[in-house]
Amino acid sequence: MHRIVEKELEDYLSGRGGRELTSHLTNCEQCRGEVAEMQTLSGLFGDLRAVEPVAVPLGFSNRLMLNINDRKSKSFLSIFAVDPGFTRKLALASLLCLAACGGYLATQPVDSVAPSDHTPEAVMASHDVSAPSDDPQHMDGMLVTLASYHQ
Amino acid sequence: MDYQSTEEGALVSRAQSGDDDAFQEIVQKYQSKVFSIIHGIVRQRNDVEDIAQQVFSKVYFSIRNFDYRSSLITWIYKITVNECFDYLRKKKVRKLVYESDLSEDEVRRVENTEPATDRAPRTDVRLAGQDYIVKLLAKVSEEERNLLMLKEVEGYSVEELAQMTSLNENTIKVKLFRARQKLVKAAQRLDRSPGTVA
Repeated sequence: MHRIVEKELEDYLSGRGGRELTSHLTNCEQCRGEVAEMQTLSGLFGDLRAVEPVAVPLGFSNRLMLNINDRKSKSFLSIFAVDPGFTRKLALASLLCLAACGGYLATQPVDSVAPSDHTPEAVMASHDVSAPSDDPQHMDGMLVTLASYHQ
Repeated sequence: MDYQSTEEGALVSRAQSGDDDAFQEIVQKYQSKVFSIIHGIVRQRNDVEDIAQQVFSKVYFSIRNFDYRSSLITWIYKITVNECFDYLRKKKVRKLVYESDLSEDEVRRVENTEPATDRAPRTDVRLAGQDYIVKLLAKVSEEERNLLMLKEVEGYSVEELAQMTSLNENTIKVKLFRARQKLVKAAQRLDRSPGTVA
């Protein structure tokens, strides 16, 4: 399409001049066809104008302010709301963590835990009789342990 | 005169600083216009108020972003038109009336935009025309749609549009021309697509 159409189309469509374009259109068939289509579509826009004045419903402004205040309070509360997606992710992460800890504990050998046997028999057994101690304090300590043991 | 220092500019400033009375003044001033625009595009009377509520809620929550580069009504107009097209896209309430409700004669008249004769109800042709142009407008960009609506429906001149949008007249002319070209192409595609008559 020729430049003249771009330049004068609006004036031509609104019927306010566009003389240069008018004379161009008499000679250029291609532009004439396209401008005619544009003119047809331009005519259809009139159907988008409200035919009769539209009355604003009574109390519209009050309902609007209620609606706005409602939205404002909701957006304030949403600060504290937890996103359901985030909750699901958190639960899944906790489960995985739990499973990893459980797996680690299950793979540990049971005998790695030291027995806490403080019975006199155990104390005696751990005492090396083949190497008698000359330390009197050590001997006294052992006697005290044996004397204070009640079955 | 700088728009910000006008009476309306002062009203907007008050609304931007959180003055609800100023916002209500804006609603009172433009509610009737907003209802007319919505009714022209959407047509479903029951939904007009819902869309208007949505429009003014958007105005309320985003008025701080209003930068005074255009007039308030241009800004509200843009929000309103976008809201209408969003509504139509989401709900798909518009059913094509061409094949089901119109006779071949009426369809032909819509195609050629001939004046309706007494035989056909004028309103049906008007509704079909409305549907058709709304479908085409959905195919162009938001900016192009708003410019076309302001020019063709509201009747603003190129000079006025240039003032309202802070663009120069030549830019407006080029944008309108390209928008019209896209409309023509969309119309050709729509006419060729199976199942549509218009």
